[in-house]
Amino acid sequence: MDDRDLERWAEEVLRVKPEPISAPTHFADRVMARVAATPVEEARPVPTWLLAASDPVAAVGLTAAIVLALLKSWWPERLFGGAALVNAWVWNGAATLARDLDPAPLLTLIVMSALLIVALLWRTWRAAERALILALTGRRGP
Amino acid sequence: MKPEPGTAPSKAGVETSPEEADWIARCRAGDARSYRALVERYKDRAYALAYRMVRSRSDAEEIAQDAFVRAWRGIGEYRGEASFMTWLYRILVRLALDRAATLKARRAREVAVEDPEEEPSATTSDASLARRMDRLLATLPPAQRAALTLFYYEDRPVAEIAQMLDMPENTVKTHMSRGRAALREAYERDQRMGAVRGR
Repeated sequence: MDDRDLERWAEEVLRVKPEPISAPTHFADRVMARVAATPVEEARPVPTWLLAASDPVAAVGLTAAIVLALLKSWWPERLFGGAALVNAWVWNGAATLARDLDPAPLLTLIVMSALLIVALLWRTWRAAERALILALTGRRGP
Repeated sequence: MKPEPGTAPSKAGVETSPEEADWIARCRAGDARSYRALVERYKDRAYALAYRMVRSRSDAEEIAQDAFVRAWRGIGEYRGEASFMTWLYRILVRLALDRAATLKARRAREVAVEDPEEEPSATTSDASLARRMDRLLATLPPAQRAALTLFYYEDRPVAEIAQMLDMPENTVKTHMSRGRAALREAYERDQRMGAVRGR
């Protein structure tokens, strides 16, 4: 039986809904008794810059720029790039938590993580390559 | 630009009524009476969904109550990107999935006590079939059960189920596909057992 057959079969056997289930008597009273003892939490303000930072296109562009900076050999630039990358990452995490149901920042986070891993792998490979050349030839590699 | 809270159609296409949007706005200001109106509107559906997820009346009531209390506490965070029902269901389904995972053994006992097995029979009446399928659905893993219950019994679209279960639509479709296959197996097993008992 393939997926379509299964779908048709499920439509057939699940077309009749089971008898409705009602909440117990006084359910609402019990909920409201608990509600009365629970204050509404203040909404966390979501700054516009935070939402802007979580925009997938902006974040991916920013990350790509940062990764490029990270791949450069200047230490100050690398430090700056690393710090900015962590910042962008944190912004996205915060924005994901702040939004109700928007999965876009999550996707951004995954893309950014992948870029970070690629950058780290690239750096590791370059370092290994240099070490190997130095060991074999006694000269500094590229 | 973000929509005003409680007024916009959700991504899944379910709209929050103006009356409900008004209740939600009042709830944000701490008006518990307006929240009671929301509780009254959704209590049966919330409790029924919780019950179908955990198959225990006491656990279902606790989960549904917790979901309503959490929704009240966090109503300031609700920005109307989904309907209130979708938002409430999302809280409830998470609680129910957690409970279903931790109380698996206890749930199995309670199914026997609270939901006695119906004898598989030759009768093909709609009510009998519905009871039987409801019982077989309870044997599926929680995520598959949640996806199928929301789709077939609650008539929620896949996009909305994905929001409620906090997973991509394709993952929901996979759960549904596997759930249907498992349900079919359980159904056939049930048929065979019925035939053996009938001899």
